[in-house]
Amino acid sequence: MMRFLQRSLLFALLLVGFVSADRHPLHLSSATLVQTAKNQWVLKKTLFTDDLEEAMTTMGYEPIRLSDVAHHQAKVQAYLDAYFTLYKGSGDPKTAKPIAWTLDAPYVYDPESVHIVLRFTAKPPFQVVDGTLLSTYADQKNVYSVRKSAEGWSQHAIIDADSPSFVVQ
Amino acid sequence: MSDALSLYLELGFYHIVDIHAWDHLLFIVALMAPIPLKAWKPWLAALSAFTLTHTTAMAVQALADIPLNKSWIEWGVLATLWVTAGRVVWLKGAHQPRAKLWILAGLFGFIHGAAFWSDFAIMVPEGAFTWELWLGFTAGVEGGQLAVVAALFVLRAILEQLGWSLRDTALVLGAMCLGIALHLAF
Repeated sequence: MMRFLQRSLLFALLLVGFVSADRHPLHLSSATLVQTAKNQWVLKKTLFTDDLEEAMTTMGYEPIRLSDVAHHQAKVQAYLDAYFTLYKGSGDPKTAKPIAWTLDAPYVYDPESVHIVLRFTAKPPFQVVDGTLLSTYADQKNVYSVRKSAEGWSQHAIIDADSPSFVVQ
Repeated sequence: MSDALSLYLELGFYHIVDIHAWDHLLFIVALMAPIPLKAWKPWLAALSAFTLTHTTAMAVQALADIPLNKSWIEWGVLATLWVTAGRVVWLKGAHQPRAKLWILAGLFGFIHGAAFWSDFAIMVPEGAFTWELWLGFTAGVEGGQLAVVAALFVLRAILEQLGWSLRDTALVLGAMCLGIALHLAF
């Protein structure tokens, strides 16, 4: 009887495991923010292609494949307009003035990742509020490295659901 | 501690201590499940060998950046899980004091190290790699690994108080790990 129970339990556990797991998902994007001249900044951001496609689809677009770069450039721009903002100073974003940025066209596509480049003029301190993919994936992390001079990386930051912004000093 | 070190320490720690991180988490559980806490030499040797080899693999990748197929690495990690959990089920949860588990752990550490590097490389913005980030991530992974082992030992102690033998606990955990590992393949 005990052997029967033991085997039943093992079978049940195997079954539970079989239906409940998913491979380790990695919801990440990475970006470098580099000051190329006085107050001139270039932000290079890499996002997983399937993650961005999923996020843009949930935003209301039809299911899209970003491989059609010319067709989707405007949609990527609209997505970033909705989820990516820069603000002057380090105070409350609700009262701070936004900083204009431009998106390079076209974005660079490969099957695994999409690379985008944003350019803007800003005097530190300023805030980066990056909500890209945060509303799609609860465990999304957007990783940043900041370089203000040739001396190396001056700042690293992680943006996630708990802290959706950071201040470039 | 610098912000870079602490940020990547956190990334490394939660890369392991993550309910979705089945692959690495279950491997550690399956590896340690049958070994009694009192038999400190076998579990310390297995854990040390795994740590040494996956850290070595990450350091080699940082220096040489050997191109590896990500899909093959994922399958390799799954294979380590099948073998380790399958072994526990095959032995019906029994601890074999003479088994040189550290050799198995050491060999599989290279595969997990390649997987850690593959994930770490995604976390580092292009051109921003520094050894400080590597150190933070690696230390975080080790911390996460120790936290999983500590949690496992606590769980086993609780179940022991409830009348479960170590062997029963190991068998149940091994079966669970094998079931999940088989599911992950499909």
